[in-house]
Amino acid sequence: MSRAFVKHIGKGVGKGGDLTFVQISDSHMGFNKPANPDVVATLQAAVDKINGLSNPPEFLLHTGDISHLSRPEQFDTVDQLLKGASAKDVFFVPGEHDVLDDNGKAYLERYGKNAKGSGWYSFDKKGVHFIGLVNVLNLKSGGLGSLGGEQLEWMEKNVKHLKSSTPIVVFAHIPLWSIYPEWGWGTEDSAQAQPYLKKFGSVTVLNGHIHHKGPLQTEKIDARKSSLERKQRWRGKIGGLQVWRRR
Amino acid sequence: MARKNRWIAGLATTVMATTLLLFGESLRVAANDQPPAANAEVKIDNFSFGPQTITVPVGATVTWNNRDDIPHNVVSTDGAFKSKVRDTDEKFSYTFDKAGTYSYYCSIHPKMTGKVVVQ
Repeated sequence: MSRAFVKHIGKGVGKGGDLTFVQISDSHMGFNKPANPDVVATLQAAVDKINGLSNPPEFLLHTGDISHLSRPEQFDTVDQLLKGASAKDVFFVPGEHDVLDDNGKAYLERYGKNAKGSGWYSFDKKGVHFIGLVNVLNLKSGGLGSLGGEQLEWMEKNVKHLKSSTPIVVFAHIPLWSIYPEWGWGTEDSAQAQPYLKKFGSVTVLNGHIHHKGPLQTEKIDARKSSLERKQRWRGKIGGLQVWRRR
Repeated sequence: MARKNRWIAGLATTVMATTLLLFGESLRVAANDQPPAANAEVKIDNFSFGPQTITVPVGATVTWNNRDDIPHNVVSTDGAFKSKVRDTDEKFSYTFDKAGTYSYYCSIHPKMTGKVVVQ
């Protein structure tokens, strides 16, 4: 489950030089069924890989399903294991497994101190603007992931003042684009966010949620063409580690 | 004579068997006319509710049994009932005291939907 991807944003993209960070996801701490009987070992392996990188990341993004059942001891274990990583800052967004039964209250108390609403926020690193979104709450029968009006409104204001040359990284747990809506792999109101991001030359969209082995895709919103084009950016697999570079 | 008797006995057996069969069939038809069993179970497996639609009489208790390796819950779309999250092999029961059609889903995986028809 725990996946880790290295992102390296090269010179000339953001202000302040190169930026390298690692995305990890879907630790599902507490899971013990045959699909992965030892999730502690898997996360530890991911941490070991992070620590072995020749180009150490400045921080980690965790794209949700930190825990399997939203239990405090499961969050504790992940926090403890991640303390062993060379990068000390970890930015989280919740997965649906992190907000079970309490509508995300315990998650927010633990990880959302600087967040708005149900846990969304933004931060800047070396001229790159990161936006963490929550799309795992208030899901409707038969529906997909959902951002909701309040979060979309916040996002619009959040990026309005930014120059179009600012590289943007948007991350959420459930895919923000429709990978396979029949299985709920999509976010029903994410299309509303696309106009906010169209002006930017570089938009990277990251997600967790999917554990299957095989290629994953992300999208780039290309301002020059003013159209959404789908480009394969990286390939990953469970517990895998891949270097992704943007020049 | 003995041969004829055997033939009659054989015929009688066949008639009896046929009668039993017919009788059995009518019993089975009669059973179908009865209201369904008061309690019913819905299995949760591989991200789906089975059977997806279940019909029960008023007063029946429906038990959902999570046989998946992933936690799920059972949430009625109109707010009539909502289970806590059920992990593998955990159950949730609800007794339906009023007739009607109750649509429900798993609020963690909202593509999972089901229906209880109470009549």
